[in-house]
Amino acid sequence: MKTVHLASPVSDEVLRDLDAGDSVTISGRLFTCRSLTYDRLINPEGGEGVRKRLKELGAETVFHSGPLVKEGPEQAEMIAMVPMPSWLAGREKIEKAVGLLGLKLIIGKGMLEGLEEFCKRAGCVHLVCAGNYNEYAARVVRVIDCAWPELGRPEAMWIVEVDGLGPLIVDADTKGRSLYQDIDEGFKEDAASLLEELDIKLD
Amino acid sequence: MLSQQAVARTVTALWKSNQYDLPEDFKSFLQEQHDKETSEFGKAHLKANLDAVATASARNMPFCADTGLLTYYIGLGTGMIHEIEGGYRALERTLREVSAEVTSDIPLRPNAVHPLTRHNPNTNQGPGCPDIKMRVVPDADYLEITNVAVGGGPELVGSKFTVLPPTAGEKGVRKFVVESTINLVRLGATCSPNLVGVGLGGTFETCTRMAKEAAILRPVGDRNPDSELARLEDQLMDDILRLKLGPMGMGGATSAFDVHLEMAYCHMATLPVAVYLQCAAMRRTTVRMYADGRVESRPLSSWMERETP
Repeated sequence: MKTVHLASPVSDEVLRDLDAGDSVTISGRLFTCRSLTYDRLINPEGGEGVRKRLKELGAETVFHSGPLVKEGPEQAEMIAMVPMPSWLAGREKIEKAVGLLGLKLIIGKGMLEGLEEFCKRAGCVHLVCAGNYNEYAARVVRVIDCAWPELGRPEAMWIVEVDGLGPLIVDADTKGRSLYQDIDEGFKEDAASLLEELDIKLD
Repeated sequence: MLSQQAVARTVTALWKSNQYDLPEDFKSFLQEQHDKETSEFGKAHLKANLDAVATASARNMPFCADTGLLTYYIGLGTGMIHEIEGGYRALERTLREVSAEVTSDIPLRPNAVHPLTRHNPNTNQGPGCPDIKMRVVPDADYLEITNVAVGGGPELVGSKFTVLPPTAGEKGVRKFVVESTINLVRLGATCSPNLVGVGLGGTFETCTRMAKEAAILRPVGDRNPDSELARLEDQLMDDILRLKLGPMGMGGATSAFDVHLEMAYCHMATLPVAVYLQCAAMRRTTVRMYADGRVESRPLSSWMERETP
């Protein structure tokens, strides 16, 4: 397992070299997104303006997060950035947004079934957090914009520039592997005797 | 007479201290587990938890961006009923106002939204928010206030309730608790390790209330005074540790802080069981306030103190 720094724009070669379990830090522009935000973002008409802006800014990373933000008189300040489970956003919405915006990095929490196959097809990676959420926020060097503030501060989309945000762990890489899937194989072995004893069937 | 201003000042200080720092039992558990955890990813997650708390304490900021739904457990001593300025309604009003003030001042994440329209007033105020629970404490001369910030993880993915057949017995309870824990923690669905609260018996709402209170109001290492229930707590803890789910479901020895179980008699036709998984972001603080203005910090809430038969 290696440690890699990803500076935007991230090339396809660099992405192909990433393996499930690697540790990465990232620099560049990213945006936060939760469930309602995704609905707006992928809406054919309603999301067009924001999608255009994200493309112009070269934002190629989505962070499934409802950050803790301090509203300032001039500029908002990120206090902490905590991940939201990626399955809460839903695979269909994520895939649509990645397709519309050409995203390369998806940051979230936990495993989302089937996302590893999509990452392989689309050439993007799913990263999960293993960090200090205050330090993540401290890596935000600039809050660029806030879209759809009427959704409330945590659900709105925050577009920010980060420098060295991490560590993040590669869950799904571009080769169809998922770290959580590998871990799950070990879990099934470790838990086998208890599962049998209590007559528990796994999904 | 206890002034509303004194209550507001005290409650504001409680929110700051419990958002900036973990209770001692949680912090020392995380440190001990970090030192002995052998799973590489597990250790990294525990270190991240500890680092976040250290950073937060040093910079006076919340250690988790999900600063929770604000909840108050109020123990109103019978000797204090006539000693609160403006009475109980005024006290409720103060707690509501403070919740909005700390949301903008600390700041806290405004988490309270309308369930259907998803409207967010950005104040953590709305029907039922903050959540104020009150109990009268006989023969007591204090007002006890416990502040707990309830995170979205335990509420979203960390809670399960069922009614088992009446003869399902201990094995049925173990099966439900273990199965729920697997489904909630496996593949990183919720932030683990967790303090697993179990409600056993009671009615629909008593069962879920017991599970949640067992998870958030009792300290790590505590055991139910009933030795049979304490044995079941140990059994469930052993079961969960055998799963080796680890921090963030990434494998390892640290799968739970502890298991706490509360029991109430149930209807003969039922065997209700509830599970509540409190994450590492435990925010709980307790004080007692007296009519003469004294404020006494308490390590634990007395909310869980059981009736003596």
